[in-house]
Amino acid sequence: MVRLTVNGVEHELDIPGDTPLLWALRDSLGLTGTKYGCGIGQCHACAVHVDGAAVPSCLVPAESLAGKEIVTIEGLGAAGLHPVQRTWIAEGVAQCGYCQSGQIMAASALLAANPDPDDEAIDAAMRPNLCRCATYGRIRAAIHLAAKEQAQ
Amino acid sequence: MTGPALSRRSFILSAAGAGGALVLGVSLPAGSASAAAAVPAAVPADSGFTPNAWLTVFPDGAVEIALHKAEMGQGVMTALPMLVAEELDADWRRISVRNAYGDPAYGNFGFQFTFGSMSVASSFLPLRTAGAAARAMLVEAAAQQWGADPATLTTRDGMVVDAAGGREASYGDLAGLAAALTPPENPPLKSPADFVLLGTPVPRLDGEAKSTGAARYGVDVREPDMLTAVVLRPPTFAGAIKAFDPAPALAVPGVRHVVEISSHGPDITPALAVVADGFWPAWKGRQAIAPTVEWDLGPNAEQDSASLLADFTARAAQPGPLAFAEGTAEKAIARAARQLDVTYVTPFLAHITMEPMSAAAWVRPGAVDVWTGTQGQSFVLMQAAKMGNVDPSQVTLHQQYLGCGLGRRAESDVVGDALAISAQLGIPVKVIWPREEDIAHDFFRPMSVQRVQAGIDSDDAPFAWIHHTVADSAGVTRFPNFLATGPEGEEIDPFQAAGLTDSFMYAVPHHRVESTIARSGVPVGFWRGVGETQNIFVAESVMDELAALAGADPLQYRRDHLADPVRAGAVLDLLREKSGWDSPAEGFARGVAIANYGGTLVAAAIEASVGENGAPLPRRIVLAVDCGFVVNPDIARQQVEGGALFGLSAALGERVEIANGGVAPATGNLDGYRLLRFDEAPPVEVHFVPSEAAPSGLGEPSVVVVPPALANALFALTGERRRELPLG
Repeated sequence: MVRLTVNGVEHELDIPGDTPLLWALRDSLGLTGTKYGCGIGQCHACAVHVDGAAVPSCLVPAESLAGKEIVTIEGLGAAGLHPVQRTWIAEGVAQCGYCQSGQIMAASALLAANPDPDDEAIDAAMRPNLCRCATYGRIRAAIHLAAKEQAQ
Repeated sequence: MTGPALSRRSFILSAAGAGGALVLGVSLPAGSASAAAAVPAAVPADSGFTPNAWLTVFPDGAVEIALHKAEMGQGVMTALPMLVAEELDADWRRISVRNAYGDPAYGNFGFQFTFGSMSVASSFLPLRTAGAAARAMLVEAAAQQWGADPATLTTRDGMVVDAAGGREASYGDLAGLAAALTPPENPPLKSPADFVLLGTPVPRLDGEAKSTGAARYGVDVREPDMLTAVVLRPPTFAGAIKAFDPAPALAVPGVRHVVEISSHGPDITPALAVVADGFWPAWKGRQAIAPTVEWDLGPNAEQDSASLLADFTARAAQPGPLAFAEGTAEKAIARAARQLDVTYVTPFLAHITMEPMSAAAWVRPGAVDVWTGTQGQSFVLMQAAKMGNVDPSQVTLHQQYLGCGLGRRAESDVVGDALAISAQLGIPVKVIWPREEDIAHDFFRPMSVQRVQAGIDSDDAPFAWIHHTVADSAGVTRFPNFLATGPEGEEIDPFQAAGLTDSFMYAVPHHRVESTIARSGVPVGFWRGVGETQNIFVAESVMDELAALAGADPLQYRRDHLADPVRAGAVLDLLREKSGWDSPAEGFARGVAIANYGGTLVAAAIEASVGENGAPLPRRIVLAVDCGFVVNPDIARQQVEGGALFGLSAALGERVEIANGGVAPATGNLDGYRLLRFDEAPPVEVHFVPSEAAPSGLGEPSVVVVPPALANALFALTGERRRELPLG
């Protein structure tokens, strides 16, 4: 049995321990907001927060997460839209939208750790997240705007 | 103050009539009877006023608009309803959108599909007309209700207003009465000066869902009793299965079945499908069985990138089938004052839709359900009817958001997989292609080798241009209707020569284009920008080479020799101004390119420096675009920005390596196939030429001008001409 605490709720799942967190979330818990893009940690469409850090859930075995706090895109905005989600909408970031859950999880983790990042810090935090629609310019603008709004 | 409310009795009588009698089929250009009649998404008889295939006004004032195009990020889900809502004078806050299929009104050229950068262009008049017709009927209904002259009534935000009489009525209250009226044939449309929505940056209707994880894609579909299948195909494009033992896969807990499916179309191999409780056990089953399968590698198992390049290059050096000719270029080239003879190479490219290929199906006697995000609704319906052995009216298509389309989702091969597996097992099955399969069995942007002999006259003007392109064509296997006959009677693929013939930008008196269909056997398809993605790279690089021969500024040289100096000239002038072309920043150089993509004129100027390894470092991209009237300026900007960076990704690093008759492991997943990353993307500035002409497309045009503009910047920096992509 694998124990996972996801979005504040504890689950016991009868799945093999080597099941990546990505598939425990999507298939066992029905949380399909976290996406599959490559399976090898190269695109980070699968990014979630584990104890506050953005990690690629396709590379994390479910059995390694006992006692850790996992937050998915569904949990991020559970009590109302997160500031990053608000600025994502305001800046018109999403086109096809498939990568955006991972982008938002990466951006929100960045701002939690670094409330006023410069462009170099944003580059480093966001480089792992691929966007085929290449919405990168608006992602950068939305992060700066969210930082500004959070500071107010 | 409002007029008397409609009696409930009159509403019920009218609504009952609306359920069947009043379909005002507003046909799209070049329409003919739809090839696939399927069940229209039904609107219950007591739920409002449906004057045509495009909208329903409900009694509570809500307005539902039918969406016939696939939302794949290009914003049609917002832009197309804007067209209806504008002429309807709807309250935009009351709008909802429903995916629709089956009505002939939803077709272009007899089929319902989303590609070709033509959604807004082909919908602009028909959808406005549908909204205007409904508005006219609502006004007439109010006029009858009030005994007023309809010419004195106005509309705004879902209300009919009688200013003189001091009363108003909501569309919802008028719906029942309007449903009893006859739709007008030619309702007047607004003039642009009166637009309230069109031309404004209305926020995307899908913006919130795509920011909260709520948006559902084909890969996310979950239905009762639905199992997940992960496919395993041969390692070669033309391979097949010789023998296999399901045991290694069945031994994995959670794996339920191993199914063999035969080829269900051209360029589609047979496959094994490991069917399980979820993706992970199915994947583990696939990994367990893969080393044990005996493959028939098929006829081209030694083919690799080097052999393809050698073959294409040899053929490009010889004459090929004529696609286009003006003047007598073969004779004229010898009279050129100065000339060049150059060969360019563009690689196979993968689509890499962010969501790997996925589809779900449930086949049982008398009914088929398909869940997927598709660019080819008509093709899916036809395929489901055929493979499910049902009448098209018994197929239900549940259209999802597309995690990128890019032309890949116009193909229904993954749907065929789902249909085949479900038909065998009799249960609902969701097929997910792992990314490795998604790349290995893509329909690639074709590789090309292009030889150009071009010369200028003694006044430095382009004088002769002979252009021979060698590339594969999807028309050979999957789209024979796309093939055509050239002027000398030989088979050509017009897509292959796109951008080099009718839409060529320059006045060249002696101009000859030959295109050879390579028939290499590598499966090819339609990639965002299609033939122009190879051809404009070559044409705009060669034009730059001619400018260098002439010792001229590259932008001015183009300006001086445009075939259409008025419209294209305006685009270049806008680009010159906004990019600061005449005053480049120190340490950087500029490159320019211009193209006509389906009637949209787009030009790019890229400012770049050179990195340590000789790779270009783009610092800024500026684009000028003439696409006619801009329906939604923010969505339009999104498309031009995204398309430009999509083109940059190809210019810098994308390339499919072929080895042993299939995709080489080196480019088999996203560790080796290099997509543009966040920190490699420069700022992109977009400027539109103001226009009230009918809109032309925006999904693809900006893709094709970026690679040549970057190569031209690199030449300006280093003096070295790069004739093969990628440049990174």
